[in-house]
Amino acid sequence: MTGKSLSIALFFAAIVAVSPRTADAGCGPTFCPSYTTCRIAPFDAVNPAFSDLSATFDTIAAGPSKYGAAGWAYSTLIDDGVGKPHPTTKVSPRFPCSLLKGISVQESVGWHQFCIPTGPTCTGVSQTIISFDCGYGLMQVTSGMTAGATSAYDANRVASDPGYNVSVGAEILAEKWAATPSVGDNRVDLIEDWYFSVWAYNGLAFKNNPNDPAYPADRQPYRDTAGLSAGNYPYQELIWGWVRHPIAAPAGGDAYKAWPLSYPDRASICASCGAPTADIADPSPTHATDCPAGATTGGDAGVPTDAGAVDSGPKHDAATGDAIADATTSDATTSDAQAIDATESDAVTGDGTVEATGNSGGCGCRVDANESGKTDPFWTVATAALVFVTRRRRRAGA
Amino acid sequence: MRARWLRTLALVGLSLTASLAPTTDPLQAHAAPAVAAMDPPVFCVLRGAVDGTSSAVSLVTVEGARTRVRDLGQVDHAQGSARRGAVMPNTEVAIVAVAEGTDRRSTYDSALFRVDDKASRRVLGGLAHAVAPVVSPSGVVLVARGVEGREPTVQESKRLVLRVDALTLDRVDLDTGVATTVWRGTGYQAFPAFIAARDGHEDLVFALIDPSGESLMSVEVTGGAPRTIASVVPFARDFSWDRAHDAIVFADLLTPYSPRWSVDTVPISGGSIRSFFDDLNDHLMPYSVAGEILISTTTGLADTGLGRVDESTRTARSLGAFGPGSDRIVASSADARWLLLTHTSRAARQVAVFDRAASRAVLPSLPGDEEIEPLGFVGAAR
Repeated sequence: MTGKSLSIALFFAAIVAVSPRTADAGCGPTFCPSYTTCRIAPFDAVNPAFSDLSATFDTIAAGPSKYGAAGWAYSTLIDDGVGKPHPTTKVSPRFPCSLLKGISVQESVGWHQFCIPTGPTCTGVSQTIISFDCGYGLMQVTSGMTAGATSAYDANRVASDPGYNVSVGAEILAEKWAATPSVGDNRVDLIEDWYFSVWAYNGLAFKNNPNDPAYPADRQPYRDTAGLSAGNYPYQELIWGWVRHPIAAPAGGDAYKAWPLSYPDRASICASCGAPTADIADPSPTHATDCPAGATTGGDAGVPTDAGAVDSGPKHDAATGDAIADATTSDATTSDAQAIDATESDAVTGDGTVEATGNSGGCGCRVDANESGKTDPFWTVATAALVFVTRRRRRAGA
Repeated sequence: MRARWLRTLALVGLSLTASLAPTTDPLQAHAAPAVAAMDPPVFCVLRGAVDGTSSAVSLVTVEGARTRVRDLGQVDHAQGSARRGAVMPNTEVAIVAVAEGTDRRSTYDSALFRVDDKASRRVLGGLAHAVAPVVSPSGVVLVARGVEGREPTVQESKRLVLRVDALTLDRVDLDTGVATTVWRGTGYQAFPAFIAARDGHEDLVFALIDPSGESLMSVEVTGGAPRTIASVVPFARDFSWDRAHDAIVFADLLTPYSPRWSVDTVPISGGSIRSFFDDLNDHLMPYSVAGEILISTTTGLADTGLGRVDESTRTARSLGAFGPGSDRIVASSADARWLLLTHTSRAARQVAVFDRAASRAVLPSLPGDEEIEPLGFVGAAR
């Protein structure tokens, strides 16, 4: 467990332990705004347990046709397939549960519907997380939540009900699905096909363009071993990072299933080319979600199997030959053992979805393959020495 | 091979004795020409935890096997902020741009700070996210700022037409915090590339990106009429100044939607764009220094690091300076001998220095658990 994961776990343990009606009117331990100038006042409650939240995401990911009263009952339909080759079909929205979980990690600083505020007023009472721009709860729903605004959904439940909050956030994501270019065959069950939707969830701004020259061209994926701080990535790459590397559950292990998501070839993403369509090809491999349909309990807490991976070309996340990686970390390789080879024809995954990925793949981030076929002894020994010295210094400091 | 092992073990033993990591990569030692042994100039870095809420501004001195780090000051910022900055010429003053707000949707979320050994002072806000300030040899500071426009319509979104903002490039008085706009327009981004100084003039070269494409432009740092240098494929990035030819060197897609990236040059006075080199590598990160172009090379999918472009053969040869990984040059010393860069592999990202005269790599011993952003060398600007 990393230091950060440990601190998150400890933080959530602390949250669970604290009563919502604690007498101590102090500030919470971790960033948690709770503004009172928005449409709905903060609702006092303790954040649900991680396992319950995970189950909530699974339930809502199945969509309004399945979750019933657990969320907002909207009737929007979205397109599944774009004729490459799957014919376009109108379906009730459903979502990759890992994507909803990853978005919520980024949006609510972990999974927070409720937490003890750090401002603007420190009440000492666990209540709805509300940002200064009236973003509410787990999915930081802002639409219709400013003072005096109206909405088609129940704003009180956005503030008070974690599942309902996630369902409204998911509906907004579905709107973005309908309003953005397609990736590959535009399949709702392929996690990578939500790339533009996730970008738009944070706003169709240039700062979310993977080609923004302000971001290093050689950035490693967010939360990978050599990854950079969050400010060096467009929003959707942050979410990809949270899906690839989940936060830790308080009881240990990942809070949800990790997926080694692929990144689209950023050369194919052009916001200034004036093309009639901005659709792009699938990256390779793609991954089909395996969320438990309509589950009411945590369904993806088990060992990640990567069963939905569809491999259609050279992998960019293959095991590296990098000597430093071998010497210092076990996080440098990604197992894709059950990937399905689809180099010659379309592949059908276990749940019946079809993926055709003809491109050789690419990535918005650098995911090197086979960086070196040769190991220089200097790096191996020097790195080991550096680790030794660092540890000795830490012990001395302690 | 045995000699290399012995050299390696000896080096590690020495470093353990001194409780310091080595600073000199032996890989190139055998190839070093007869250049006087010399340590690199002092350079400035920003360093802090990846998910941290503050970063130290530090001066780094490398003396043989020893690395000394002296903190100038500290800047508080939003958690996980990008950290950018520059060193004011001939001073030990740094300017730093970091995100300060908690609005995760805002593009103009950053502020400029002035940091020296006495104080860290906020100068002004509203800076574009993750965009570095640029500094001229005479000490003029320019930043990118803006105001967000309306969200695109569904029809626009389907074509990936992004939000169009009101953009400015502003000259900043570090003492008063007053900003004077030297260029104003609309688009996705006005990205300040560098300031070219010659004949008493200092021109800001910048890239303007909007829904219709991308242009490289220039404007005097004191303001005046902007000039379009060239229209480019709208993926241009990693700009540097080819002083000898008064030209812009940059990376770009070879053609729209091409899988190949190119190292291009265009005279600042205008003219046609010339491609030096092209490759599938999407992180060429070219840098022009003393009449040569250095890039980060690859072999197949493997990064092979710092390399030199041979214009006549349109090939690049890796210098093998830092081992596997990519190398991004961020600054060069006034005499063009030293390059300050980041070396990135899958396992780590390190700040490194390359001695062009001796073809020698230097790896300062800096904390491995921090994100370290090199800002530049202390001394005269190049």
